[in-house]
Amino acid sequence: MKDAIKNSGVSYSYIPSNRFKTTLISVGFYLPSSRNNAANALALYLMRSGTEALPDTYSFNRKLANLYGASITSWIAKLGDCQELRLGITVNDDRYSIGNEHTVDEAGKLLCDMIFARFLSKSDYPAEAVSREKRLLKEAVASKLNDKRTYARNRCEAIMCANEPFGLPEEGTEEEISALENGEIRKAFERILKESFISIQVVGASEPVCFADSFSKCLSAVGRDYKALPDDVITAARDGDTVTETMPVKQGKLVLGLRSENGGADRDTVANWIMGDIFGGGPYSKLFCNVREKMSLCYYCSARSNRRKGIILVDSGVEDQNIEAAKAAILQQLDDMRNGRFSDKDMASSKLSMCDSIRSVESDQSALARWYAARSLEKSPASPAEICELLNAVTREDIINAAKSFRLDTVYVLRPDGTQKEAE
Amino acid sequence: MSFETRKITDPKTNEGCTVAVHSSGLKVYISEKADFSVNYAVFGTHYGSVDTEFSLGNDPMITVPEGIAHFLEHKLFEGEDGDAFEKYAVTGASANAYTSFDRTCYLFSCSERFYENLDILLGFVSSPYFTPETVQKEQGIIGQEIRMYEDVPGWRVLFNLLRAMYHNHPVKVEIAGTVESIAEITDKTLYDCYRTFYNPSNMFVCLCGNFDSEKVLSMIDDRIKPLETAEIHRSEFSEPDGLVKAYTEQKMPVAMPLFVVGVKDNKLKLKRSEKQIIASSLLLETVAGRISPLYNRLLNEGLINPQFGTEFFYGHGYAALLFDGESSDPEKVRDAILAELRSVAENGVDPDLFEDARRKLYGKEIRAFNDVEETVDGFIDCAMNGFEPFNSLKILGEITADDITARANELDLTLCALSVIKA
Repeated sequence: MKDAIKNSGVSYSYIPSNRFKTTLISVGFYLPSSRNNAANALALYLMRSGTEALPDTYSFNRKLANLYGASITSWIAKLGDCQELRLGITVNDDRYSIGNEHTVDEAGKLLCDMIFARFLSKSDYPAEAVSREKRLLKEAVASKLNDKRTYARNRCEAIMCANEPFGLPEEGTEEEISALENGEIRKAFERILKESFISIQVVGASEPVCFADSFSKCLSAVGRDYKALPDDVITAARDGDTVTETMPVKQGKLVLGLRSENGGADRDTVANWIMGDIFGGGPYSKLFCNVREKMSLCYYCSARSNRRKGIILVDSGVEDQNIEAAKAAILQQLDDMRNGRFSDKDMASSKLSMCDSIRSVESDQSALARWYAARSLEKSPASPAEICELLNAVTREDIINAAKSFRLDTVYVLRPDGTQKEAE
Repeated sequence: MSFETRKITDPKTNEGCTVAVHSSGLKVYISEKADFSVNYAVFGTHYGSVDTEFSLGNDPMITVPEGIAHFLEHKLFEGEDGDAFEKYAVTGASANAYTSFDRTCYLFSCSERFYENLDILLGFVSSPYFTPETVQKEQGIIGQEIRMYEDVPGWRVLFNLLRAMYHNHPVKVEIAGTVESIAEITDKTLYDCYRTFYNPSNMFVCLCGNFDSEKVLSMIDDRIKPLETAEIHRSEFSEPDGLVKAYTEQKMPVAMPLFVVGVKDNKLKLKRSEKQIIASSLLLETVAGRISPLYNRLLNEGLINPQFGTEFFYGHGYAALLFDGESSDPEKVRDAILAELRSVAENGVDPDLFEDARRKLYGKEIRAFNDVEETVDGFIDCAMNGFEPFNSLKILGEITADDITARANELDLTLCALSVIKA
């Protein structure tokens, strides 16, 4: 791997690999999370909808199919207090085309056109494209209600981090999206292309030089005005607010938000990572073995660490009558972690499992791109092998100290309102 | 070793595989990927939620409680000598299992200690251990799983559709069964099902990764012993051709209505060739895939969003074309889909559109070899359906637009049901 460009907030990595039949080109834009999230998200939706030359979804989708089903991936996520906007294309390598087409170069050109063409030619998207993409973004935001597990987790996060950028929804709200005008969309494009931190990963058998050249030329034409990303807000836990909401559901959801003042996704927080994993990661974890298996209090009960923010969310699906018992059982497991009541076997299982997964990254094209994307934002990035070394060096004392640093901040409960009838 | 072994290589993908049949009847598919850091293995059986009525050899037909295949999957992780997850915790593998309509699969992925993990997999799937106490405990856990799925609108909308399309076939029943049906499961019924369906002659092992095929086959040969076997007779369920009803609706807290449109495909419900399956996928892509005029028209008219998708859904005794998504007006979407299917049947498929659909599917088939899991999933399909690895690429090279039009003409569009979930 080499870092080809490292100025004006742009990181480019080519990760050579002969393992795959495809080349993946993935471009991430990182901006501070703010009330601009909705406008930025809409700009990404417009980028992914086509190019200036192929402005309608039909001709654009036909072009992708013709490139042997090249696929576009896009996502909008929170990375600490940043908004991550990512657009990528995966295309079969030239050697698998029937008519010797240069599929990879074509895909690279298509991706550059999607990102830059309209901005550079100063032409607005057609009104019907803007209104279609607004609708699609609003529907994507609204449909988060459908998956109650994710919904409950998002609610807990939003309540817990209401006073931080992290508490803002990554795609904005439906109201914010509806209110967006053309001027704000133009500004969003300018913000994304000029001011964001840009992190590019290319994974494939050979480097598509045309793409790197075109991308650099487009960036020069844009004129970068990079604004460095602020540090994440990492704060002490407040004392356990409990928010209860009801909905016509059959099973309740219980989410516990824990906080530590020791955050940041760097080398100093690997102990938090293992602690979270022994506490509620795999099937060897204390939450799975005790709260689910031994006590049968919930069908799922697991912990997810956000190392950058120093947050752990414990989420579980619980029958209404078991909510209090489940909460007590989860906190008891945390207490056990703090008091060193976990075995050497628990520790070994966690280290083995985490290192096994990390080593697997190299055989998964998109995981590989994600790995290097995440590292590009860190001050002292480590390779998969280095991370495994750091994980293996974590001691029992480190884990106990990590557990002691976490305190309960917010409890979110979604309860059945009692109206949901049996399915017909 | 007691294997009949073949090696297959494919010049289009530069991939190869070993197909072996053990003296026990167990089918084994292996793809070695020397430069991969991850290994993936599945030990599976041709046994799923629809196998609720069956007989072995000359025995009389028996009926078992709905949800028992999934229940058995959960229970098999517990052995007399401990839990399989505990064993994997010592090696660091990531292990799981799933039950679908027609199969149950036990799997692991790992980057190291592959042979130890394979030994665990072959061991626990071959060693059932059920007691009345452990069965009772599992009823509680699965009961909670069932209730969780009752709150998942995407799951409900599908099963509501299947109930609208199928009178008797157990495809209409939740894979995990119901709280009532799993209450009838006993250690004895579990052993009955295990003996019938977990005979190696009804099973397969599919693997992909960085290991030595010979060593894998030798381990399987040591672990798997031929068992007395008899033919499994699966019930035909005397399913009428017609629908139960054409429309079904349920209220749930969702942002906008979810729908699935299903066209019951009686022509392919009992037998289907790989070519017919590929033709069905190409029909779906040209009628309502991303490249179709219909998809783009509905998207631009505000009637669907990118959640919209299609599937050719099939198994023993059932087949259907499914179209699912979110829409403010599902009935309008259904009518548009039916009009398009009718038009293809009458006027044929646009040749350019067909060509792009074919290229798209061809590219997807090649891409599947990027990934150990997708490679293994392809082998599982081969094992379940008797297909030959890599043959789909050959079929895609030969299939014509007329085959797609012919497929459209085999459908009876009056057998169309719509399921909707709305707030």
